[in-house]
Amino acid sequence: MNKISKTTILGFCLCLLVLILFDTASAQVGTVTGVVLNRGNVPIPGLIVSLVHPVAGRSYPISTDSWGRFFFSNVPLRNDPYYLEIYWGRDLMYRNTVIVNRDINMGNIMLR
Amino acid sequence: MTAFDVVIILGGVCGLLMVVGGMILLYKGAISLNKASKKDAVSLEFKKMIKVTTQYPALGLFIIGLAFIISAAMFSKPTGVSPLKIQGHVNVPDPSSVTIFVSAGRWSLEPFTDGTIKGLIHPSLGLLKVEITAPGYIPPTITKSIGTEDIKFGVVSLGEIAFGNRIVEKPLINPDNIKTPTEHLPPLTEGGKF
Repeated sequence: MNKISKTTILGFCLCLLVLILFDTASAQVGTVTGVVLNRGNVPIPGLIVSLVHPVAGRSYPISTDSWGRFFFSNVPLRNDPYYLEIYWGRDLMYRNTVIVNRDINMGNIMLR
Repeated sequence: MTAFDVVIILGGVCGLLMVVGGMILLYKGAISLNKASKKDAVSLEFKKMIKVTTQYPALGLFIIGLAFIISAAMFSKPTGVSPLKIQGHVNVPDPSSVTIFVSAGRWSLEPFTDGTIKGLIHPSLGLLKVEITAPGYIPPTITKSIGTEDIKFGVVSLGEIAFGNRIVEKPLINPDNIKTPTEHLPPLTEGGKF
């Protein structure tokens, strides 16, 4: 009886540990940066950039700055891919997958 | 659920109990709607301002119960924020490419020395930020802050918004740049999860 109780307590503690570890992992966030250029390698300012995931939802849309740069912070880390979307106004210009399991620099993204 | 919500629910339940209980007591004959004599009349007085006298005491149960229900309903009514009309004019050749985001102001909180975050904010439309973004222009974004003093009869006028020079023309949409998603993605209008 005493052995069963110990096993039960041990199992409970293990479950709690797994839950805590899972919770810690799910709270981790990363950054995604990049630069958007046109075919003449000229940075494109004012594009709307958004990260979207079928389950995690969509990020707050941001816009590229005068140098075509964008920066997302607080992106929940995941092992399945996000979609990075780039809009000219409401027109979708670019969509590609990106796995954000750490801080990601996407480098130059060419719209051609 | 806040303490206020609990009070509202309890008020509603008390009101319902009084009304239903009064009806049951009437049905069982414990109370009656017969007119009482003047000396048995029930009299309610509030600070010598309001005085109500009734010779039908049973009606008091219904009135008090209804008062509970009505007040609970009134206080639980959501305090709707008045809509705000934002108007202006953007001076670019292709206004359809302009994106406008309106967001509420920021409230700052400071954590305690042990890291605990505890604060009270009063969300309001006291300060709004309007970001107008035109692709290809430098600067690409014009930001305007709207305070309560800028709101006139529920209307905010942004005036004429002029961007500088367009340095980049819109690239052609290349289907090769657009990967088809394998799952349903929320639309752009549903932004703001992270």
